[in-house]
Amino acid sequence: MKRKGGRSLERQRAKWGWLFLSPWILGISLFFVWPMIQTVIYSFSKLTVGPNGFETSFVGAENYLYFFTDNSFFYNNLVTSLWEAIPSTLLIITFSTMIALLLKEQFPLRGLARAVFFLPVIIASGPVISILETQVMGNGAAMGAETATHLFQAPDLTLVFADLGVPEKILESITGIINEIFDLMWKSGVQILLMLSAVNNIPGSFYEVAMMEGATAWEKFWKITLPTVSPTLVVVVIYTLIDNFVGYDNLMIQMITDYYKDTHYAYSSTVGLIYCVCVLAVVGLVSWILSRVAFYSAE
Amino acid sequence: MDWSRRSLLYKRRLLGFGGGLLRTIFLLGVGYVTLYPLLLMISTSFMSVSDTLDATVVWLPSGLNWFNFQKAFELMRYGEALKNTVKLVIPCVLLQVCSCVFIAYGFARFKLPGLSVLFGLLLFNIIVPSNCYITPVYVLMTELKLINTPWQFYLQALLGVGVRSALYIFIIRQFYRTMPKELEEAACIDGCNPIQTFLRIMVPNIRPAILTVSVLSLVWYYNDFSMMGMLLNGNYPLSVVITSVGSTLDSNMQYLTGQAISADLKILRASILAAACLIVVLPITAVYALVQRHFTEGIERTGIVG
Repeated sequence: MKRKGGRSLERQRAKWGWLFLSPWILGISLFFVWPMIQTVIYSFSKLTVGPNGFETSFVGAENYLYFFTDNSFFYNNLVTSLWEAIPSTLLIITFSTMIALLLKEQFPLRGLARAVFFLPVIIASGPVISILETQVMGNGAAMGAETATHLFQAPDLTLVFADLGVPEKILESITGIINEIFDLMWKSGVQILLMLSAVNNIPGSFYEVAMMEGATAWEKFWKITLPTVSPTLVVVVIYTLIDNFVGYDNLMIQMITDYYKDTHYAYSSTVGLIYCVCVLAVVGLVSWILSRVAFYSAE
Repeated sequence: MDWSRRSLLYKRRLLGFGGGLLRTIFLLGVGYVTLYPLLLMISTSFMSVSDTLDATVVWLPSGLNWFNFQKAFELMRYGEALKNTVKLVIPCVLLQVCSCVFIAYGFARFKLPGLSVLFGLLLFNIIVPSNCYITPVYVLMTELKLINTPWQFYLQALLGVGVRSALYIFIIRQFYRTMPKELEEAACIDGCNPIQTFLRIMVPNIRPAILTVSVLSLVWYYNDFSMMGMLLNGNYPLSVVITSVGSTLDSNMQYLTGQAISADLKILRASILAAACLIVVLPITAVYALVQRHFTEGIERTGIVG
């Protein structure tokens, strides 16, 4: 009797659960699952715009063949956009961890500093920053150059190094890296906040023990800070990777958008599908590796 | 003994001071570099052509020159674009936040058969870029007769598949899971059904998460030009309008002068673009300035990760 009552209670609760999920199930099937299935179909078809919408005709793997044999940009773009994510992710996590550790301690104007470091998120996720980068900073006579490709450039620094007699080639690669870092700072806002919350949640007693044992700051970082924040670090790495893959300035996203705008819908779908499989593979692989390395305290 | 202890003390104090100084210098430098493009944008937007060519004028223009703003306003039809933005963004944010808070509760607190499959689907939805499956969405919206209207975005926001909705559902779910189960059990014993428990107990308790998600949602909807540019045809919001200001300027200038663009006009073009960028980011920055304190503290204290 009792058990029966329990089971019906559970069943009743399940009903409520489905109620909470129902809008999402409708949404995800209409606007994600169904479009994904359609994308697969489109990628094997030729699309023509007829009197009543799109008409698809099956062409086999023609679209795929086009991209893997004829189109020379495709392969390059794919490899570049997947490969470039790795160094920029590494730089972003290093940078955001560093800033988070600096912002952790109490000091005057800490609130202002936090606001400034998050400010890029407000602006960088929109189109404005790339317009500033490509159309304002280069052509404004302030910089003198025809087109600037980086947000911040250090012409004086370059001159100093040139005066010191550093060879031009080496100089170029150094300034290239420095400029790259400045661009990445604009992409680290969310990551800094995530790391900040993780660093703030480390119990103070951990550090007290370490101090009693005479640990140096270096040891504290590697033995306490890093392992404790490693679960957050995993989230940050995956977030950064996805951010990189989804960003408007990503070569593949641009390629998909361009094909769509030129009404090459079948090509757009094919590229989209290949790219989406690659992204899933990379993100899956990285999170699998990281989940083995990260330190999860027993709860 | 005494001497060595004192020297240790001095050493520590010196290190503390040096560390503080280093940190200040480093943060100032990084802060400057972060703000540099924005400062440049503000300064350029007020510059007249003669100011830009004048070597003595570096950051501060010789006077407040509103010409660039006037042109930017006209070119973008700012008033209209701003109205479109508000019409799109505000309902979307409200619907998205409400739906994500609602749906996330279903993911966090119910044991359902097949929930892990659905959760996997949610993760997929976070990872897969929405541009990859845009064509079928376009077709679907055309069939639903919603294409080119704001309603297509409202519908997606309402059903938990708006811009980055999956991420917000994930964040709020993590947050729900950190709350003690006893709260809900007590409510259940007091005779609340799950909807009442949700509204009276859970929602008031996750206010920091709601604030965080609202700000992120506002920012990402306000800045989205990819989705909106692809699914709309006219009545564009600011984020889409700004992307074409440069080419509009070019064609206007070519029409006016009938020849290739001269150096002076190039400078003017950059200044007008800077002004346009400034008035585009101004509304969202103002909103952020109002809520940033609660927002950054909210993220920090609660920790999105949970």
